[in-house]
Amino acid sequence: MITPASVTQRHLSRRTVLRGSGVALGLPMLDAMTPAFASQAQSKSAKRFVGISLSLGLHNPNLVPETAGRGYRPSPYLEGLEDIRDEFTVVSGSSHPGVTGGHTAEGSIFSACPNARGATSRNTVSLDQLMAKQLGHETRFPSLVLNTNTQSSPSYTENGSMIPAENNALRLFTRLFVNDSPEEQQRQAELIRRGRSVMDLVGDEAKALQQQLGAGDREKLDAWFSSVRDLEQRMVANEAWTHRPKPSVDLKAPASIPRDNEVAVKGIFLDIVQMALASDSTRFVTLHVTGNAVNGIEGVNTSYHNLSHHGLDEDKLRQLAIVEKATIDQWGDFLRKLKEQRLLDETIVVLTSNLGNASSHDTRNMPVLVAGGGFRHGGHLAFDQKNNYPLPNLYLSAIQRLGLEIDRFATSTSTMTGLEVA
Amino acid sequence: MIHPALPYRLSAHFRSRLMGRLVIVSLLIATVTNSSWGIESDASQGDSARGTAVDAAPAATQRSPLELPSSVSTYLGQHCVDCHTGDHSEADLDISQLDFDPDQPANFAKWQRILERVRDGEMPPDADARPPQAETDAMLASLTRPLLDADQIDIASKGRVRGRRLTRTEYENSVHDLLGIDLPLKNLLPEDSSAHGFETVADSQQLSHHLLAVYLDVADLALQEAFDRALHGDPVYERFFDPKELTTKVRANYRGPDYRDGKSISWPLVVPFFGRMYITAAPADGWYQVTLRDVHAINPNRDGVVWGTLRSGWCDANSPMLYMIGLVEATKTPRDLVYQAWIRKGDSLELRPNDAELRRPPQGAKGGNVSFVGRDLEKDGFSGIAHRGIEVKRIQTNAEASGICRLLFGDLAPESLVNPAGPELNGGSEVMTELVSQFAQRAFRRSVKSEELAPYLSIAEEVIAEGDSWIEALRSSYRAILCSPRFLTFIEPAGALDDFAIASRLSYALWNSMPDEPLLNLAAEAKLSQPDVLQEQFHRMLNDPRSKRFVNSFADQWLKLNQIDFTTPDTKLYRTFDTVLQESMLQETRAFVAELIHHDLSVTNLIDSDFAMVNERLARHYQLLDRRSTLKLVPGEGVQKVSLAPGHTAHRGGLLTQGAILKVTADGTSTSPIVRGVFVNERILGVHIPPPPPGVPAVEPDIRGATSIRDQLDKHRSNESCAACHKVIDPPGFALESFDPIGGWRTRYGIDGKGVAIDPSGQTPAGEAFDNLSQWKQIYAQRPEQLAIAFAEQFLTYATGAPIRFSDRETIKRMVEDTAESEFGIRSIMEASLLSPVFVNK
Repeated sequence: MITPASVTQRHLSRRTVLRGSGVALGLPMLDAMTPAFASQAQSKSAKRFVGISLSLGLHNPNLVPETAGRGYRPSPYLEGLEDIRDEFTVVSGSSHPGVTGGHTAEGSIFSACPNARGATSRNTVSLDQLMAKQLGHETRFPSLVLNTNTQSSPSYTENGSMIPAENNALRLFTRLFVNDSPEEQQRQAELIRRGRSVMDLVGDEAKALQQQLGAGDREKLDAWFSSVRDLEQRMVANEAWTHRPKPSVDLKAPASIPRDNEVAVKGIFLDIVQMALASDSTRFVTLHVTGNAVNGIEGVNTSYHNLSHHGLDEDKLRQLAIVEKATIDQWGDFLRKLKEQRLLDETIVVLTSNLGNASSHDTRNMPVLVAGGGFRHGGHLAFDQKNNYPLPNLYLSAIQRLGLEIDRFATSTSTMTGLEVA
Repeated sequence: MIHPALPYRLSAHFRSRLMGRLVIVSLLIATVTNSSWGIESDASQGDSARGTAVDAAPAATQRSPLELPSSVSTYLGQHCVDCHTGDHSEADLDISQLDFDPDQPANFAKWQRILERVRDGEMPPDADARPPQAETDAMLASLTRPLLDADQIDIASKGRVRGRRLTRTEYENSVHDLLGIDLPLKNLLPEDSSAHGFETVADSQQLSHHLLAVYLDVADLALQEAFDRALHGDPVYERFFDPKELTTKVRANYRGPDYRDGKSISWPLVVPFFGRMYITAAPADGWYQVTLRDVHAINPNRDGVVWGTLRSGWCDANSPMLYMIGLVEATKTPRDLVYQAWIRKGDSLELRPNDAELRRPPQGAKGGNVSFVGRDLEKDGFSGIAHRGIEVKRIQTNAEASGICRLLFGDLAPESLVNPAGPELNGGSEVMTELVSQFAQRAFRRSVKSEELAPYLSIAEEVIAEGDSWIEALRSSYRAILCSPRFLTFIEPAGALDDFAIASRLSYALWNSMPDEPLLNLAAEAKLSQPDVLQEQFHRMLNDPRSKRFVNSFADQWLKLNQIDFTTPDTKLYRTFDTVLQESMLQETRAFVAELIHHDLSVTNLIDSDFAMVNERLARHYQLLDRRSTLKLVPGEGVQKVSLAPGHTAHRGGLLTQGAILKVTADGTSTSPIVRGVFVNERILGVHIPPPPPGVPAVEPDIRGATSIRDQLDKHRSNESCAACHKVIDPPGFALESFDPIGGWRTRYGIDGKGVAIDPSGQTPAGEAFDNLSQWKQIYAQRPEQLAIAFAEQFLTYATGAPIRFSDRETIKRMVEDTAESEFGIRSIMEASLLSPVFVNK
């Protein structure tokens, strides 16, 4: 019988394991540890994170409500979300300290890594990957890194390497929900079995080369060591999943993917993400929205990138508002579905962009909407537009909300002021 | 490094800097001499910096602290610091607080930038207030010396190129060469990011377990393909589809070609997928040779052709993606046209006229969508493409099964390898050693010592010990070899490259793949480091068909041709744009670059040339075929070299007026002199344009009151701090405003030229005025040395995998001077580059 005290004890001991040894991370959870997880579930902390990032920003005057606090009057973009206004918070006047460089700041959206005028040679770990590294081993996919168009992503590993995004919705669906053929399962199992000795060898070779090559190549070879170690852990975890059937879900594979309607593409991805969360296939997701084609949208005849450089031209702003409003509405639909399935309280959902003003490539005053996760929502946190509040504080709040004992993320100064647990 | 903020006084500042440094320097002082080129490493700094630091590169060598030469500090104090001090320093550069520590890369870059901006006359910004030139020259000289020293010491100990990995294109070619297979692998690997303009540059290459997992998986897939074919032979498929079959109605919604007089005819109908032929669906993923029999034009245009495209795809709204197989240039005379393409299982062929300037039959008539039913479109004067059938044949674009067998098993018969008893029958472990050794030497591109081979052999031995077959054992060993950093990266110790490393660098530079046997043999004989041998190999390799990979890959990255699909022109604004035009643009620019290389033509051709490489579609787009024109194109020849009549060179000639260049530097609906200006400066003129500094306030573009992009920019340029860079960036962009986003000539903006007039005039940074592009070209065509240096830098960055360093500049300048004899021929510049110390050192 487990007394409350011993639960705490077990809880801590698992933490110790998590923090202390990288190798233990990927191991299937031992039975003895199960109560620790049960206790975590009971503690009602959040357990999922979804970060959606827009490469072309959101037009702030249409997004940010005029008044702060609860009871703000909805801005034009938020009018369609009135029914769920208590499920999310609008944050204005915040950005990542030391992050500049317009489009090149994309790499820092979720890492908040100061990028020295877009010229940083190395990024730091992104929020989602930090979470996935600590908590992602319980699901088939520790994380999903997605992009509506290209393979670029704002998700970075601990050694600052970008994780290439899945950019094909059909392939994503297949990976998540369609079982591999027996031959392919066999090949994968075999590859994992044999792959481990290959990885041992690769690690040894990297070491030998480091002695041979010296200082100039050290940094690159270091990446080999950490990658080998990480992959070995993944292979251990994957071995168990190879033979388990994938979940069957109430969602059809996307039959066609429109080439001229970025908003629709995003919708297809979000539907799949929602199913991935519902089936507990993964708990950590980033979706980077980068498509440029919006000609298929009613009332829009100019490319998205071109619209974002509106130069205050009225017609362009009008068209841009159509595209951006549709994007926000879709985000709202995503929240509604999560709420319906009772997933929202345990899922932190962030919508943001590296650009606060895409027309001038300004990285200050990033657009930020945060929902779910058991925070008390319904308000507008209005920080200083001139002297921005550090957005990494929001990320630290999210990290701690997941129960991780981490007290600093990138340039955070504290958890986010005004964002309380409900 | 943190230092106390002092009120401005340079000397005091640098004293404090020195004091701060004592602590740092005390730990480790390593010396590097120019003669030894030795590796001096600081073993203590290995793992510690990972994962946290932004600027993580630790200094491997610590020298005695440097002091800023006093002439420099005096100069900066007198002429620069007024604007560059305190919290509101211009460009965020506070010179009063700037250390002089050029051993640190970030600090080095700042001092280099200061040097270059003063040298180029950009700073101080007010020309009237500048110090006498002699004073500036003296300052530059004393700043240059310590920077050169620091740079050379860094290169000697660590090299320019650090841990470069194969790009995915290089990976695919290498695996193809190793295994003899032709399975496309590139798209299974994540896209390469690029730095300094090229994917080959090591700085941009990152590795994570995600990529490692992909390497493992793709190696396995490639080996499965190779072993399958070696053991079971090549798939065979051959079919001829006659016009009757191709035009058989299989579904209600018929969009196939028309059938008339024993011919299959495609008309320029507007419906999507018109010209699809479901019967041609491929039986399996694979390479196919597609032959269109007796292709000929119906109602050809004035030049005697009708343009179309041959593409493959599912040809259905459910999966609208179509893959280009090739252009179809139908002529009056029937011809067989032959194509090679990778076609996915189930995908069909689609052949259609694809020229936006063709007159299209209106829909309707009796046939609904397919308006040829019940009408005689030929008689009505519409153009079409006819043929007498299609032959589809499965082919191998690389080795056949027997060749793959040899690459995998040497002389052994594969049947002898299917059981664990194999080794005993065939001489046992010696044979295994020999096979693995052969494979490893080719994959690693160098000789392999037995102790280096051992771990790969033991993988094979393990498999045999488990009772698996020799086949399995070899496959496991080969898989490990394909995942090894010795295969996936370039092994280049600091200092002069060894012969094998030169072989690899040369081969990946010119062939995008691993060295062939002659090259490896020369390396083994240690001959490749001899300049005459290297030179000979350079020409042999460039004359080999494989050099086409270089031309395409280099041109695609250098000139951003790989971004041709990035924007889709607004067809309401640019009605003459079509797929054939875009494909022709790519062919043109690649052919142009190849022409310069193969005939060693002068680098000034990049600015202006008296010839063009065009096909009929492009010639029409470029308005080279008007009534006065004497230009003669051979129908059906595709891209061909034509002389430009003097009247036309005003608009075309050179690289910059080619459609592909003009398209990738525009956004589909509008042009930007900035984007084009940056492109021309960085890629052609060799002028590096830094990103806008953080100190410059972001300008909210406001196009409401402006009448043209040019006025808009003038507003921006009225800000003094913006003007310093924009006077360099904008001029070529202004001159190129005479070309719209799809490379068409224009004199006014707006739909159908109804907007305001274009003003292509400007002034070079040196103050030379030009009225239009033609005059701009005349100015820069007179600067072959500058162009040659710029080209050499681009080529060397691509070919070595690292940007050109500060201290390489002098080497390159001298090297380029030697090519003056060939009038700075492109091939001569390439040759000199490959023989230079920049290429043959790490």
